[in-house]
Amino acid sequence: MKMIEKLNRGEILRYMGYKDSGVTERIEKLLTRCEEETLKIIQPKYIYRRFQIEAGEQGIYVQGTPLILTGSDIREHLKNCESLFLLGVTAGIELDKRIRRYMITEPDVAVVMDSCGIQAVEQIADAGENEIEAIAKAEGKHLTWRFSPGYGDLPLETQKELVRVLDTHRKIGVSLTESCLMVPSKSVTAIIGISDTKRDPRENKCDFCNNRGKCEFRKKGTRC
Amino acid sequence: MLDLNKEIIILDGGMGTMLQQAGVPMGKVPEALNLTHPDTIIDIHRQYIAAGSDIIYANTFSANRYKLSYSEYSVEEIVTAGVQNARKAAEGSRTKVALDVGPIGELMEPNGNLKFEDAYDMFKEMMIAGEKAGAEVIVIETSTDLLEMKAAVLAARENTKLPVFSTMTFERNGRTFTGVTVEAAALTLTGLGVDAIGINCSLGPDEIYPLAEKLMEWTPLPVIIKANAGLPNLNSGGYDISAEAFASQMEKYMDLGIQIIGGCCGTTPEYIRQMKAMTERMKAEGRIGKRADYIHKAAVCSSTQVVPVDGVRIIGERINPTGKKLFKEALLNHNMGYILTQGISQVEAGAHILDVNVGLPKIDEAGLMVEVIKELQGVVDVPLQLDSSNASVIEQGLRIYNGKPIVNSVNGEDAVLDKILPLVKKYGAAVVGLTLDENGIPLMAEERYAVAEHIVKRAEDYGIPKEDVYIDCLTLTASAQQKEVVETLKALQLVKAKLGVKTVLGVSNISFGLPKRELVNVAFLTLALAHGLDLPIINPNVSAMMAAIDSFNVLYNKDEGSKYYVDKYSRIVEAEKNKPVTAVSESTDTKSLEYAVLNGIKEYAGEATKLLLQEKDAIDIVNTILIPALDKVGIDFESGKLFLPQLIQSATAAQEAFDVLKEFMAADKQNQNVSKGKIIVATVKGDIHDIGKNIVKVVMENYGYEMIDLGKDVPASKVVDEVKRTGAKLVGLSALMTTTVVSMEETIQALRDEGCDCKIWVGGAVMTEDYARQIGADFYAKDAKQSVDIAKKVLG
Repeated sequence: MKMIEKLNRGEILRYMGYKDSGVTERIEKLLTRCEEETLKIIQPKYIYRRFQIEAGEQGIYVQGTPLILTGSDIREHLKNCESLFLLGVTAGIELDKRIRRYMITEPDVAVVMDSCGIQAVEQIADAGENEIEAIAKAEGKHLTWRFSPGYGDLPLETQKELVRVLDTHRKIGVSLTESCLMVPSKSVTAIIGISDTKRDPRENKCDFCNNRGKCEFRKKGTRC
Repeated sequence: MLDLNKEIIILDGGMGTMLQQAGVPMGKVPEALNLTHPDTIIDIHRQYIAAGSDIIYANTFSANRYKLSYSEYSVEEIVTAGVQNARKAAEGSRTKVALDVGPIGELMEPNGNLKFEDAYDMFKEMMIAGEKAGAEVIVIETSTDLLEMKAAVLAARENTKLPVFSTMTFERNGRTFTGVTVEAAALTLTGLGVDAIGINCSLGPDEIYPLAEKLMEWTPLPVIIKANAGLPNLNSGGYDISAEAFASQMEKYMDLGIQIIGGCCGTTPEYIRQMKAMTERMKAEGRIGKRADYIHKAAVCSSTQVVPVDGVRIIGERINPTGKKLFKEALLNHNMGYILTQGISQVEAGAHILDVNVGLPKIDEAGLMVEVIKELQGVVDVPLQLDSSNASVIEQGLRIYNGKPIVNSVNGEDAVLDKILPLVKKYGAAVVGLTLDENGIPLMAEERYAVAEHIVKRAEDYGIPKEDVYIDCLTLTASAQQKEVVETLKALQLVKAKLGVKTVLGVSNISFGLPKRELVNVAFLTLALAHGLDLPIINPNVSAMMAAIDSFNVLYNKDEGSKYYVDKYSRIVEAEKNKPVTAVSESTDTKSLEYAVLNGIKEYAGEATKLLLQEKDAIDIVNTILIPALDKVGIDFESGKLFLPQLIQSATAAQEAFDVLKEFMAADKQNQNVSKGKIIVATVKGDIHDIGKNIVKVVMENYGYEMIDLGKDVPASKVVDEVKRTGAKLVGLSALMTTTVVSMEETIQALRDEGCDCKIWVGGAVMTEDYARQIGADFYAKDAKQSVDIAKKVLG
């Protein structure tokens, strides 16, 4: 069974800064082509592992690993949690190659495929999160939102330890560059807390995101 | 010494699994345990030796400089301790010790930004330390990137005398995470001269089996299988098959004649014991299979695509500056976009292999060869043919080429053969042999055959099988040497029949000096194919040439049931029928170009421009139609009436128009310039996300600015050099992350320190107006539109 059946067009349009100006037939065709091609070439993969956590002086200690989550935002995020899941997700390297190629021959296709890729990786992360949710549910527990290195005051550098702990290079083919960029580029990592209380149901994550000041999406008037 | 002729060699099983069971504290790198808990490590090795391992892997998998950057120990300390622990455990036994080398942990260019040379250095460090500490074999394993594997193999072969085992990790679909196929890995690594090739990790024995069969078809070398204990449960960290099941699943490998077996993740000494018992039992019962005879194949590859030369295979000739003004300019300006477009369009037209020639006087040919190969391999899958008369250019290209390429070329001259053939052998390439020598091109077919025979023999002396030698009988020009044209065809036939090698031929020289060259080219190509040509070097964008090949495949029963032909040409017929009536033809006024740009219809823009050129001059078209149309698009984009893909479509439509104008002016020789000035753009050092920069480039290009794109991960010094070289007055820098804004600041500082007289604008996801000012930029642009506004302000 395929992990993703269909991409969400509304989301794809949103990433590209679309604001209800009507989708022309030309754009419609372009979207269809890109969505189909993206679904054909992605290699969706995810991995997650559960860890007990303990709040300490330096931050949240992820037990059995050298990983320490620092900053007040992640502390707040995990305040009711005794354990968490680390999640690593990717849409695979072929998509990067294809986008690179289209950037040379058909840049409009490249731009749309890029957004399709972002949508795909969101859905792969959802698939991983769904499994995690099932595990939590069986224990009568709830999940927090997905929180990633670079959000709020959790340093982007946390990524380095996170990918080592998950062994993403070996398990799902995801590595980091020196500047903490993920390769393949359509990849994400996330921290999901397990707690007894239900998560903040607020749809708009921006309200409690510290990245809001310099967020790429907010600059365009959208959200992630 | 290690005896690879032994019937069965048993390797060891998982190390990580055993360490977890031993309950030792897992620090930042498990290899540090070699120093902190040597007894635990030695004990694990001893358990494997007791279970029957003929070779044990030292605990050095991740002991490279990148992964140890967090550790307080050096590479040498850990490698030495790891090898010594294994040796200590092996004392008194016949078990050999392998230096275990895993991936660096960073992705190589063009996917990531790890450079070949850096990977090579990191591997070299491990290899030297490992040999010094007493390792008896080097195992490079779990690799998913063929180029990284190549760096490691070269590091081992160039710096140690140890035998090299090379095993890669594939998924069920027969590809690694980076898309490497089993066949491509086998071809490439066999060529590189490793001692054994195999598959390890990721899957269990049952899942690996079909991949192992494929591997054995593509290499004569001993094959290694080190499977996991079934499939990993990503989430519990456990594996799903028992030691008994593992051993029984491994039985069928014995029938296949596979010699070297072990276990990877999830396996323990018990798995090895059971597997060893299984081999003993099968030996006793005489059930160890003999490996099927290996059939040598003529084939070349990239890391993702093998091209077997078992029919007509087209080599695209367009990446070559000879006689091409625009291509020469592109090379001089490092305009990779232009060169890559030539490559991609040939592949789209049906080229199976691309010839790459970047030779120009007074140019750093080796540097360019490396750059073009890297970039091309980042966007196309087809294998490449490295075309140069300079041995050092060929060697530098061969080194960083990902896969098995063709070297173009050698000839019958011994001085040339002795210079190039050792390189071909070392890097495991195929080679083109031209049938000429120090006396020039022999006129008669028999003489050319004699040269071919000499080349094949000399190649075999160097250990290059004749399947890897492609003979070129050389096309002469009909208008100058009409009598000898037929000698080429005769020679082709002779070479094919008597030497049994593959043949290659550049076709289009035949028609120099004749009118309607294409007619002669097609006829000659067809004749050559009928005389045994396997690898025509042609321009695949000429549809008549492709049609000749497609027809030949039908007529010679190579295209079974004419399937390919029918499919391709019925689609062409269909497309011709449905060709839209262009809106342009309805009106020839200025509105149609404007319409094309406003609506982003690139198919019309070129035609519309051509029509306009009949009544207006180029500059006029730019200033009164193109720019105003683009401005309107820009305003609509800003107000949200249009969004990003539409902006890009309009820009590419304008691009079509500009291309027509440029061509027109080049032909007109007035040499009037539509360029509104040079602009340099770059994604800064450390950053490899360049889509934003690329969008800006596409849009600005179509306002008539001459864009010099330095690419991604660009060091400050390169930006400075290029500003000085080109005299550009405006520089755009892009960075995606807070971590790379630092490099942006450094680049700006470097430009200022060097006194470069240019304005700098910046953009990128985390950039803001304030931030831009803080790091010393002149302007901030939030998108492509604002970038254009800045350019107008600075350059007019």
